Amino acid sequence: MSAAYLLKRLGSAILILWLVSFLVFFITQILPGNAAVMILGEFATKETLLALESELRLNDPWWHQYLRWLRGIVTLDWGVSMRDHVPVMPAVMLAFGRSMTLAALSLVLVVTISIPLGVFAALNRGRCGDFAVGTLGYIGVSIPEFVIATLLIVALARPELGWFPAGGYEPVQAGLWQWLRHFILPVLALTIVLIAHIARQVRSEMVDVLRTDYIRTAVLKGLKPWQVLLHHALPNAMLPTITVVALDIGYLIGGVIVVEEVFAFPGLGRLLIFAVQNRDLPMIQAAAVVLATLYATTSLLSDLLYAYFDRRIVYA
Amino acid sequence: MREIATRLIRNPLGVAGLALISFALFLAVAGPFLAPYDPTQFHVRARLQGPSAAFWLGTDQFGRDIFSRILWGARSTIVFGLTATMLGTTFGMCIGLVSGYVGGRADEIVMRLIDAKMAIPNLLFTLLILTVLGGNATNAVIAVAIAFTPSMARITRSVVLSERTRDYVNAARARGESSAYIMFREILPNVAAPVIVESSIRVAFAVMLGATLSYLGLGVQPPSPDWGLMIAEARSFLQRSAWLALWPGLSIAVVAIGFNLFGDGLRDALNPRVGEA
Amino acid sequence: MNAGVGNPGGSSGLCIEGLGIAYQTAAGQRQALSNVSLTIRRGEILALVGESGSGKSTLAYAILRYLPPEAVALSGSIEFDGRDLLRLDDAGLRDLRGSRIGVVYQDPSTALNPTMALGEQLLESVRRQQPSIARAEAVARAEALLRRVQLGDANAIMARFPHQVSGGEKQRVMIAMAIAGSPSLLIFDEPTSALDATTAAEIVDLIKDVQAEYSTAVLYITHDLASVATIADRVGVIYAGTIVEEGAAEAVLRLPRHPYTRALLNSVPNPFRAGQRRRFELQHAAQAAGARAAGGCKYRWRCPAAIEVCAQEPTLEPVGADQRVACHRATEKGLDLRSAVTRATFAPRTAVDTSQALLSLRNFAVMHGRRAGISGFFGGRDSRVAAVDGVDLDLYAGRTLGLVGESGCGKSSLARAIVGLLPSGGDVVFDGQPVPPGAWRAHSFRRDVQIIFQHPDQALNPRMRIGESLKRPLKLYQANADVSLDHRVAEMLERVHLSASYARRFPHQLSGGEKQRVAIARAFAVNPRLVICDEITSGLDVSVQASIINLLSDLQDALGTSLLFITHDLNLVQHFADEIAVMYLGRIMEMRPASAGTLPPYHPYSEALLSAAPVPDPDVQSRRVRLSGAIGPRSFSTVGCRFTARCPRKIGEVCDARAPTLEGEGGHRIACHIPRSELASIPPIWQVHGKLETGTNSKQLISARNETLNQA
Repeated sequence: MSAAYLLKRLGSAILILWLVSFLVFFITQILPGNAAVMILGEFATKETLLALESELRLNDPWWHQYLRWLRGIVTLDWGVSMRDHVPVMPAVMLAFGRSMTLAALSLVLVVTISIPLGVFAALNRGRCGDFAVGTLGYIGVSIPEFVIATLLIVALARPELGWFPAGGYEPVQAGLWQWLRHFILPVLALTIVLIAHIARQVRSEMVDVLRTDYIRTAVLKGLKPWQVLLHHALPNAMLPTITVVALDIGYLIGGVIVVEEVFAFPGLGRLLIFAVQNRDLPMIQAAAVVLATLYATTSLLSDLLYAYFDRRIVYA
Repeated sequence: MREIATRLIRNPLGVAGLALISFALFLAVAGPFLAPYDPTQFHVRARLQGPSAAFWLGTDQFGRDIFSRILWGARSTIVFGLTATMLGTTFGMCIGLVSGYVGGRADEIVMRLIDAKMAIPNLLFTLLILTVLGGNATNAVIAVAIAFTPSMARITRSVVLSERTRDYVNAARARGESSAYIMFREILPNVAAPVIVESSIRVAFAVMLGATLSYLGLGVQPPSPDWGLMIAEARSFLQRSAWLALWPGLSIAVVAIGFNLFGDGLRDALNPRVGEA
Repeated sequence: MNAGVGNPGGSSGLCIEGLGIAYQTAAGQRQALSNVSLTIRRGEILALVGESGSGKSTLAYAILRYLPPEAVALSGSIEFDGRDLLRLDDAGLRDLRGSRIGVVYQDPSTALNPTMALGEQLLESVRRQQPSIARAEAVARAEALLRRVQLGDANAIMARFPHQVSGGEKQRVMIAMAIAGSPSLLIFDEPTSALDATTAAEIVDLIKDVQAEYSTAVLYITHDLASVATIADRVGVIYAGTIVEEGAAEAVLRLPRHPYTRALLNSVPNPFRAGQRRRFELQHAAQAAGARAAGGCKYRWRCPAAIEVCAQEPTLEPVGADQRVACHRATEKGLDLRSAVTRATFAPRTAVDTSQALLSLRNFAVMHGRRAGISGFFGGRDSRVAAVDGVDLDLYAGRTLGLVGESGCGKSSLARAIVGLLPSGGDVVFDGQPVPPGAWRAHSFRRDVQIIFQHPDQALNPRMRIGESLKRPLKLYQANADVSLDHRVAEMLERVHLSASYARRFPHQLSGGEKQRVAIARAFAVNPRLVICDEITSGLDVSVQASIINLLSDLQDALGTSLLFITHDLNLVQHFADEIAVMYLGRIMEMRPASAGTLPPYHPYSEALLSAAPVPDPDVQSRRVRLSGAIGPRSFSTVGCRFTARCPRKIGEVCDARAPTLEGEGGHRIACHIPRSELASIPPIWQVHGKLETGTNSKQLISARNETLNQA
């Protein structure tokens, strides 16, 4: 991987972020034709509409609006919430930190469980273990997070059990266990789908690798099975897994939004849903751009990681 | 095509998926006729009941029969999943076909736009669109279709790129065929099969996404019997009756599993090399 | 050489007895090998020859006990060093693999782990023998092995990854890995079929060299009967899972007894028939139903000499000094296996009018790669390179021009650029009319110039019925409403010896050879003046190749079409082309008339190509000319001769400083700075040893032998 590749990949990430910002702005502010109607609802009076239009300067040409908005986003001046009249930036950042913790915990759990599971299934191809992982996998990828989350609340957060809270959030200052307790059910709800999905991908990657000519070479060299697995099969199967995990982060972000809503977890997802319900335009835009930036950054990182580990292609 | 069908029938995944989907389709068509009660009728004296002879799956907080609501909900769920996926696939396939075949600068621009869309998670993207359009079932279908279009376009394009280097395309070009003929008569039939397989798996996503949107109040609106909505409405009553969430949750999962299995079975049937389970 | 037939020859070596293997499928058992018996002694190379699907690879991997779980051994034993391999447990197998038995595979680019340095992969093999060895010592041993396989810069090769070295170098590393344990059996599974001719010749040299040093037993699997003469002591011919003939290589090649071996040998292009336009001996197409049927001689469904007794299974019986044949009629005298079709000859050539060429290229050039687009902004660069430049070619009406070159030399780009699939520069004149530069071609040009591609699997649209594919050129170029299109399609199919019912089939229901026939029918549909054939036989078995070449020649004789036949196989074009162009890195090195045969003068590159081409004759010895370095875009000088970096006859600075032009008279032109007289005085590549000294007489000897062959 060369510096030129790094620069090139960075350049295209910035291009994509710029396009994303345009897309978000276009959908939320240009597409409705009249953002003021959207914000105030269909039954707003003419005077209030006109007042809002001039406040938002919605009568300017759209590129003026966009440039003004983009400047705001880039300079971290994200405006004021239209509902609570508080600055958007601090609110979003506070919620974002909690969501990131939630997502990171989930991701660590997903990776540590799904990869060994997938490898295990591939090595036992056609036998009971494979069948079990496969069946659980199909069930796992087929249940939406909000259903899993709801069922988890029903099963594990009954007041009479007292094991886990049914929702909410406690800061770390309230004690490490108190803080962690609020994460356990949301993390579980987020991981089941992803574990199922990634384990299946790892399995199929591994099955393909085990069929290649170079694995045949390794076996016919007389290597022991664990040597074939550790030195030849795993490194080649893990490479595409990086991409799969990165793609699933997009799914994870979607999951975070829903799961936070179900558990009343005060993160960015819940903030966004709340803003959507209240048509709080600056809040929606800021939250969307932050989430998209997060996703674009992780796919950039995964590409760089891939290029670093991949020996086959010259990344120029 | 017939061979693909036989291979699908021989494939246990495909058969299981086909059985589940057929069952779901049957419910979608016949469900409303089989339902013992009107799905919106209140049975005030029989609220939040568990399964019984009168109400097979129990009743909800208004005393509505859950079984009847599940049966009615099958239709909206299946129609939602199929329509959204089909729309997204059709748009995506056209964009991917033209962009991939024509290539050059136009392709470059389309691909960058698709990359930008792909950087926005699907749920977030549909939320944004529904914020603007307003949450209801039709708009949710449109939102999901738009969300699926770029990825279908990208899949189509990648197949087109590999097909267009094949010699039958070169032969057609050397023969002097028109671009339209080559795109739609030579390449499209070869692209359609793998793309349709991809989209059949995506129906499961669409069903799950649709249910999630309903759950968030941006899809199907009350009092319509919809599985996602049923769980949302049951939120405050879950500690008293878990059935409220269990039945619709199970239904969503069964339909999604059906399409996932069917799609995988179809993929294996189309590409026998990857065929073994 | 003439130790007792069928004698296991002591405990050293490999002895296979009555081996039968079947694959379990949904439709029941499919027999892959039946009653195979073979012996390979230490210090002996046995070449196992068979076409695709004959079971030759199954045999190789059965010895290694590396078969898919569906495979079941039905009968027999594989004895190696006194042990029956079929009864070995896992630990015993592991002990054997990589130490007592080494393997080299067909495609070195997939057989090496792409994410592991070559050195690490070799070290694994070294440490497997001596697990306790210190790293420094293991590295020293690995480097010694690499030097043994003539990889000079061992240290640098160790650090590289597979994608960073050439195919030939990868195969050398594979050989180093195979010999790391000083094995007593080496298995080569088509080790040269993924390599270019000149590289393949080097690998064959190396294999013989290594075998001599370690005096191992070698099983050399190949589809190429011609290569057997160069490498093998013994040869076994396998057909549909049974050994049909086995014996000393010399004996089998000199006097093959089994009808299949004879047909195979007759479909191998023999360079001594150059310029004679002789018909290949054809094998009869198998009657599909019988091909895999149990019982009886497997070959009887294709055998022109099959009689009633052939329904009983023949056994391998000794014939002559050191040869065994499984054929009831092997010893009959005067058995003529040629059919009426085969006996016919092609129309003799008449003098050609060389005043006007049908197609002329002058200073023709093809650019490859892409211009930098938007990505140029982010560091993408203009990656266009010249695949072909400065090419002059003339093609005359009704003649065949063979264009020969190794992979990457630009021969396919040239073909594609002529028909406008790639943009080109320079002057093109077709039938007296200039063709404009760029990719646009006139309607009449597209009708008159057709192209057939290499891969039969890709040439036809998989979702279109054969009839539909064949109708397209008619719809585009012949709006003749008198005859129905279906009728015309039937005629076209008949022209390529396929029945009209093929029109309703889809391409995947056809064999590779049949698909290529359909592609030929489509190309000849509107009676073109020129047909360009781009490596159209390189994916096919030799017997199928022979029938395709016969078909093309027949069509040419009937329609007067010109052919531009592009191939990597020099022997093949020598066999039937009128004129041969040798191409190297985008330039024409030599234009020789086929009548020049195999005699000098040669361009030094042609000389190396000729030397690398195997001759299926034990009495012919070819002079060794080997090239150094690998072919590649960076290995050529931009101002000098393209071949200078690898030329064994380089004369000095002039080669680097100035590109030579094609010069010479009588249609034989060579682009080389070496004076023509000097090139003419070098000895011929092929000589018949022992019996006759001069090249001209050797030709007579060979043709005399070919006659006796058919009447043995």
